[in-house]
Amino acid sequence: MNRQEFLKALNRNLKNLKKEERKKYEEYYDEMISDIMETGISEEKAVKRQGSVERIAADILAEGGKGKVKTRDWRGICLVVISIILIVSCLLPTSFIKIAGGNRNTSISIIGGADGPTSIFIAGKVGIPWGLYIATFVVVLSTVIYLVRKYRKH
Amino acid sequence: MDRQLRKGLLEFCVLTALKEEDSYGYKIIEDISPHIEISESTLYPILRRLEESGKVNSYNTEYHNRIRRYFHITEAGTAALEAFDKDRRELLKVLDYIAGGIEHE
Repeated sequence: MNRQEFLKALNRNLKNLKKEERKKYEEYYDEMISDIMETGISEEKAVKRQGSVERIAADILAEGGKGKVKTRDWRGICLVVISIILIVSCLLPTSFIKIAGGNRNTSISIIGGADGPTSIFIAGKVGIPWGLYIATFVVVLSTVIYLVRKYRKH
Repeated sequence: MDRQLRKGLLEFCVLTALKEEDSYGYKIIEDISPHIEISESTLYPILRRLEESGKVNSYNTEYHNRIRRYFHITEAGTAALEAFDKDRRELLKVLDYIAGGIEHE
């Protein structure tokens, strides 16, 4: 592995860090390799001396959460969006039922919740849309639990 | 040496290496490594930590057509080093206690 490959690989392994942060590490290792080479050691050996890129990156990431890019929590976003849609449809029951399929005897199927235990499947005859209310309740509840758990962790 | 213990001591080793004059990554490693195990990948997080806590600061200089980053010990860094010297007595007492425990086993 030569210097360029090493620095590229390091950059790749640090992709969770901010750009300027990555650049600092890159400069540091670039300088270090140059300095080692100046003592008469070959480029390849100087790179080898740094150890494995994965190990270095893991150490860097373990060391400081600083400069970390926040990864999007798609699961949380999905839950919130589904909750909002369901709440809105609860507040506008008539329109929703119309959208869902017209007359009172139509059945509505809702598959809700991204979590295993909270997935539900409801198919029922619609008078008062109990299925919708229950689904909304379950999804909103699991969203709240999910968010509370998440923020407690931090 | 135990990893956690070494990590704590390394901070002071780096400060010591910077006490006489400003220095850069590779030279710091050269100066310290006869005394304690240190590698390129362990040094940088320490420098970052020291810089964040205001014990050192850094500046770039040009050297042989490339950039070299020098580190400089601040007043806070010197103070930390002096404080560590005062802690030495305490540290030695702890070491004696631990050594005593091992002997009596």
